[in-house]
Amino acid sequence: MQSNPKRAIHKTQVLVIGGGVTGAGIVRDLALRGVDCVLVERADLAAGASGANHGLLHSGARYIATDPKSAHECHEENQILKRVAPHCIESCGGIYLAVEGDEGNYIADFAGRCEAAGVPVEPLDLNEAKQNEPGIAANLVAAYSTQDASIDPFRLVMDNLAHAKSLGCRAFLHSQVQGFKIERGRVALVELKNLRTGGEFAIEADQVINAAGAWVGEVAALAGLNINIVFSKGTLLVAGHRITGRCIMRLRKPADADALVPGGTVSLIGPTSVRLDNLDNIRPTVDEVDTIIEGSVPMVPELGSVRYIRAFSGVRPLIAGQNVNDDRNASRGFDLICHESQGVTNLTTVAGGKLSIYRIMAEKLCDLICPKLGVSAPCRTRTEPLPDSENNRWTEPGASPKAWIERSQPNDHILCECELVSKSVLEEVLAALNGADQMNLTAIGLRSRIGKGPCQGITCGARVSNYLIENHGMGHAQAITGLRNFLNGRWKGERTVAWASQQVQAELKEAIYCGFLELQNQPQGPGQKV
Amino acid sequence: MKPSAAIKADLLVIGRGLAGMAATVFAARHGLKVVQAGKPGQFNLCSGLFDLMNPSYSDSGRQAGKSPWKAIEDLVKKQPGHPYAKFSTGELEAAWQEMLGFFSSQGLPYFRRSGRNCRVMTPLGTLKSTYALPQSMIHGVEAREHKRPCLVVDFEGLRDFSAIAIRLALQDTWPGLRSLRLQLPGSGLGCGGQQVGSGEMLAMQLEDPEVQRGLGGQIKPHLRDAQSVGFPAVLGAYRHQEVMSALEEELGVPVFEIPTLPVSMPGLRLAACFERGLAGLGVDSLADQQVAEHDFSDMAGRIKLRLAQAGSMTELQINGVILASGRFLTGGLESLRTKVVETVFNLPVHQPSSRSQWHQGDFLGPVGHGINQAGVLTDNDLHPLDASGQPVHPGVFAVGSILAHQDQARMGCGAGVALGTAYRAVEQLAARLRPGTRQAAAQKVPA
Repeated sequence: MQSNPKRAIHKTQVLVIGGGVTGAGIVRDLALRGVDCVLVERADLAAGASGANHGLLHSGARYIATDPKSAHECHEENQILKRVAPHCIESCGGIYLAVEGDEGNYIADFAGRCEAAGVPVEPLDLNEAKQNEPGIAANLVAAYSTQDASIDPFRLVMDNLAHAKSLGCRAFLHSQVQGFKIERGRVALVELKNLRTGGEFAIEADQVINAAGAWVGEVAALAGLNINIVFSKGTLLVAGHRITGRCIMRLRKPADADALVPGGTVSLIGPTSVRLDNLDNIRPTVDEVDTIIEGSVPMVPELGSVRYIRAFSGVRPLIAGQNVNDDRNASRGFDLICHESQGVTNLTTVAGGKLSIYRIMAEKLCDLICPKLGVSAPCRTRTEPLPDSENNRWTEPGASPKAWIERSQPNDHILCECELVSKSVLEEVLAALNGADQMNLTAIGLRSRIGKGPCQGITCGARVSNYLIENHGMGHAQAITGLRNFLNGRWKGERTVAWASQQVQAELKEAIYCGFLELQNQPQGPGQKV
Repeated sequence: MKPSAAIKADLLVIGRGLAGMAATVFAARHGLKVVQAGKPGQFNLCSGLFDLMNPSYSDSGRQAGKSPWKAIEDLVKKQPGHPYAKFSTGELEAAWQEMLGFFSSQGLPYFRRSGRNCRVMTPLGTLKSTYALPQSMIHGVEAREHKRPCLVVDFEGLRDFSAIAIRLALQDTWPGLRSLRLQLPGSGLGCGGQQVGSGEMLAMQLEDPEVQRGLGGQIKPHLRDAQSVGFPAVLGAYRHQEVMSALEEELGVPVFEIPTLPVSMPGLRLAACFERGLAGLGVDSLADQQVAEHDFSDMAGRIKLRLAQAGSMTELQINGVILASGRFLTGGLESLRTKVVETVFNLPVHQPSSRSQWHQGDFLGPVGHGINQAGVLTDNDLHPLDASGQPVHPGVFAVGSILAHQDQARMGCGAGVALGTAYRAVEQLAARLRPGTRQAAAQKVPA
């Protein structure tokens, strides 16, 4: 490929491709072992499955029948993460429940299988379960308490990376791998392009890790390698309030809509599983939304009438190879693929896996490659606490209003009315962003609660846009483009749940942004013309 | 429940937004006895700008300068189901004249150009194309058109309005535009950069002559060559004209308002104007009462209705009903998960075949979402149709945004449809009730 000879070339021991939880976990693990590393990400942090999941820290009970090994691994990691990253986790516990009509054999075998897999569960008295969680169905036939928990995946990713950076790791976001220069059977150079600025650069690394999640196949293809991954799209719904105290899980084989996970002040319900042929259009559909609602009502009846704020979809990258009809029965474990046998000695792909076991995935990968670097330091992530990086705490529902009240500064105007995000909080989010090319509404939304409340950006969209113009020197055309992208990004999640109150919000949003502000008629791109 | 009262009247208007208010005014001026009911309009959300037609519809702004009247002609050719196809431009012009005349008589003068739209600055610095605007906004439109030196002022804490954004958006073509941010003088919530809260509070504060003088004093040193000074549309609530005049006297140049995001003072001024004016026209209000039962069976005679509110029931015998209950925001339409329903009479609603067709993937796409064109179908006389396609009753009309086949946000046809259909419905009803008195269709449209 053509490359710009004047481009910067960064040198490092390990280059990690992918800014999801896997990549962030790997660079932290490496940095703790004293390895110099660089993380690159094509979009923003947690842009793939890491930012589009239930936020569920599995107890393991979900996998006892399909993958007992994964089940046990989940349990172990659940215990470790609760110790080392408590600020990212709400240890709310879970209830696995079955209702009349659910498969009797599965229910009967549940406790025994959990025990065999080493996943602790406790049988619950049905009346007591109902008293503790009034939202669950009346026709319960079985209930077990589990150690499932709610985890904030955004904060987890950001804190892992922040810790790694504090130990010397460098990160380049919005930077896409353009190609690999392969010499004598190894990756000699990785060519990259900053998609925001168009700037080209390159990285020379001893070892290269492909941790691109659903996109590992695309990355490997740039090195002329083939990885067989299948894509399973999972869609989730966000209800506007917290419906239950605990995670509520259906006691049956993995199926559509078998989990309700509280996430601070909201609830996440789902998922679905739909096989995708490619990654071009990862958005929720109306049919998936209806499937989730209808499938979850037997578990928690009010899910038939609650207010849904948005839906979103992520892609589970599953390791192909087994002949499975249902993607849920595919392995939820992970593979470490050394490409040595295919003729590229210093490239390793980490494929598959899931949020709950990200740490052990990173550990095993680092154990594999560190000897190649001559590094013998052991993994420290099992015991070393994950530092709570102050600027990364604003994804937690309720953190912003609390800070606003505690600070009580006279000029600390509220910018997002739904989630009560104030000026001072926005400034901290911007500080964490650290780089003008990253300063836009979508990136701010990812790192805070801005745009996440019931109005989905109606008030805060225009307000924060003006704030960036006034206080951070953003150009007007850039601000308008950012606002359009933000509104369209929000809309992706809103359109499938836009009925009842949310249709009212959609109508108001359109009246303001199309009817009044005429955003649809603004020239696009730079050079706003009047 | 026994009805606590029984009322006979010529017309019941359901809905108190622009279409319902206009129908009430038109009917009352015809000498009809009118009763109003239904939910209040959302005037707090109304910018005060009255749209007729946005010539940019579906072409992303390329024809912004085209006549809105010509754009309507083109639209109804392409979309013969649009409400504009149901009446003449003569009737539409008459509706504008009558409505704007009413506002003027109530001390809220409006401005329009006959053959083209005005482009008004928004709080984000974009330009909005509109047909009629409060007189308080004219100087801003003209200053931009002629690139006259101009100062736009905003207030610390009024978070949804940015003079800086306006300046940055327009300065390339309008170098004489400057911006200024002020702390509101005087005591109270605006003081010292404290949270100003809402435009309503600011508007109230600005009615204080002391505050006006202080504000003038703060602006004067920055005036320089400015030939006019723009403000967010918060220049007074009830004493709007006085506030405008006082500031002009202080500053020695014309001042103008720029419309704001909600809460919108020009919208609230409209609501107040209707309330004042309708009181003078002897209109009865059953404000906030909802239709509980209706009987349309006597096709040649009166319509019987029962209205309910918190334990009281009112029975009405009415010659005509105008349904102006609006869309989702005002509750005239409601979307369930599977379908859109009409909430007052359970009329059939024209709509996309399934929810997956309601909205397209691109929120800001040029064409607009399928659900926007959902609504009540009528015949050419604006009688809503029942499931078999027949008018439900010769005395029942549907007007305004509840009508199918329009997309107000994209087409920019909201006020035009509201006024035109209200006018048309009232004319029909008046002709039905008082044959022979119908006015000749109004004057020709100016070119």
